[in-house]
Amino acid sequence: MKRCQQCQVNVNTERKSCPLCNEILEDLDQTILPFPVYPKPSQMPKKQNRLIQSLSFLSIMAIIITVVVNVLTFKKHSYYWSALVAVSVFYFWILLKSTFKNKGNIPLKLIVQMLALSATTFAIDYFSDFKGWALNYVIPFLSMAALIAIIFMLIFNFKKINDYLMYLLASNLLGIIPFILWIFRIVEVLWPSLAAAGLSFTVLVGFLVFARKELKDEFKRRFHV
Amino acid sequence: MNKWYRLDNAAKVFPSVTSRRRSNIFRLSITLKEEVDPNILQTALEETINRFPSFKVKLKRGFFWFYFEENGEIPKVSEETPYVCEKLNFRAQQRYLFRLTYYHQRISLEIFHALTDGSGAMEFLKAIVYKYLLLKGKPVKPEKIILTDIETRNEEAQDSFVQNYSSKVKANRKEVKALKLKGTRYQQDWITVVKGSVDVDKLKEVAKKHQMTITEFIATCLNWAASRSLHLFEDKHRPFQLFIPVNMRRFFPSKTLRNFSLYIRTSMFLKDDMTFAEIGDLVKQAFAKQLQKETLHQLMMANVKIEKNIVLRLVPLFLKEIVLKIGYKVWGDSPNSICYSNLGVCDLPQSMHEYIDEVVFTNGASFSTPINISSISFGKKMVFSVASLLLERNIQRDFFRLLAQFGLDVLIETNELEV
Repeated sequence: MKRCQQCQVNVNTERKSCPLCNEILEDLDQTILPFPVYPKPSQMPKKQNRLIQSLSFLSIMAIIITVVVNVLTFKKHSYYWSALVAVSVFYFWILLKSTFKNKGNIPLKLIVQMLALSATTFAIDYFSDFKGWALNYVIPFLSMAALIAIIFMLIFNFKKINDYLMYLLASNLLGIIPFILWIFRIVEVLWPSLAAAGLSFTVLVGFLVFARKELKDEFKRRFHV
Repeated sequence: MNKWYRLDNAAKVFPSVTSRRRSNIFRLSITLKEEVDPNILQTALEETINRFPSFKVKLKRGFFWFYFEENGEIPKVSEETPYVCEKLNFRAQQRYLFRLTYYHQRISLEIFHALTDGSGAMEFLKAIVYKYLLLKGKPVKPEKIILTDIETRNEEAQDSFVQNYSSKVKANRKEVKALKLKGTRYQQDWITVVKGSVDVDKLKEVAKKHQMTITEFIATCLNWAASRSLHLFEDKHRPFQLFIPVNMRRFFPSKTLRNFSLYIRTSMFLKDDMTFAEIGDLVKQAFAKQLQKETLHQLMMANVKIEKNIVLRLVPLFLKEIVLKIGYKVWGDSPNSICYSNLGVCDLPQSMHEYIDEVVFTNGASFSTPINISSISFGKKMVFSVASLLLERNIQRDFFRLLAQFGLDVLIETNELEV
């Protein structure tokens, strides 16, 4: 126990000066505190993540260099290949920030992954010779893969159905989009889109049969006003 | 099917306005007389959490509002860190909205304000410590103070704000902008805690001599301390406003363990030559005027009316969050200079008294109210805890010096962030 004559208060501390006024403290007794009253903060400032910094810098540099080279060497029949680099870098960052960043919420990660891959493949298709392979084949199969993956996770984790319902519905809706695009003749090959839409529809019916109560309940809480 | 709850009226705003610089976290600690065993504490927490379903939740986003959903994970105790009332990382807490920590002899509960207020959280912590002592083999009894398995739980999860809604009461709320503290912040938004304990009987005596309750007396002391440090404030033409939360369970019968507190404010234009008696009169007037059931009920109506507004209700959450952020700036932030929260007497069973050394209540500071003073008394001791983001300690110094001048023995302890 120590005392500050200036403030007229007792102070329980290891330090030599008063925490209120910085006056030198007077020792009342020689008892030593067994441990500080609060754990001591480390004075080290938080480290900045050099790896992330370097990666961001490299990403931006790669895009700038390729764009410059692309523009300088551009001839009549060449294409915008630098866009492919930009898109790939973009996808790499989504992979890093969403998929590998932390654990938890795997269905959300699956959907983000599916959307990112769809966007990336579509961009690659579009900026190369635009044969439509991404829209016709890749995207419907990706949506089916995501849907099947989430269903498998649900089967092994049926107790957590509340956590999965909204993601499952979202991927259901996404699975129908290629078929809608086919109706508007943006997608040319029918069978992959129809397969995806069929799967989505089946899952939806499955829900109404097996988990109608859960679905209703989830809607109630998600949309309560 | 797991349960879900709407957020109560006061809680609705907190998830949207929480950031690193405003954690909306407060801490309640109970210090035992021997070292805490983390394993037994973990068991005590696991066995207690099921008794408190309104705490066994995680926060989820709906389309229109946030809501609480039953959390199936097991909450984990952890060691106390040096950072008091730091923003909660829900993921690190198994998505729970509180953190139960231990440090040598102390058990602390740091809890998000959306979940409950001071008195609700105290019930939870008391039950955990009771269970801990029981598991340690101590002969403790609930004595009708600790919530055990027999009470009605449904009432405890109710939103008493909405329950006391009555169309007969006129909504009334006036907010005036207040003086704001300006000072030098610690790096990385550290919060410094200066804890001062005094004898509660002596304090009561001194307050009685001034014909005040303890809360009125301390409010006067704080106003006085602020009047000696006016150079720390900006916008000097505005009044200094001390924000004082009021437990509404005092006025309206309720067993809820969720938020049920409102506030009063003392508001005055401080001058550096005001005497203690002058300030005391103004504080007493403010208390007499505002600390009444009708006035508080009108304030409650004003808050519940916002929630009941059909237009606001139908706005999607992401837009609502923007509205809430702006609204909180105007009505929540700017009228408060500093905050003094008194939790009163911590009521513990007689059989537990001999194992408990001290009870502390610390309310985390934020960038809008950089200094928060809180107090709670247990046994003979009343502990004041001043949480601050600022290097300058004028207000703390003058406040504790003033208490010492009134003949009180003050014992200061801090978390040793050097000035």
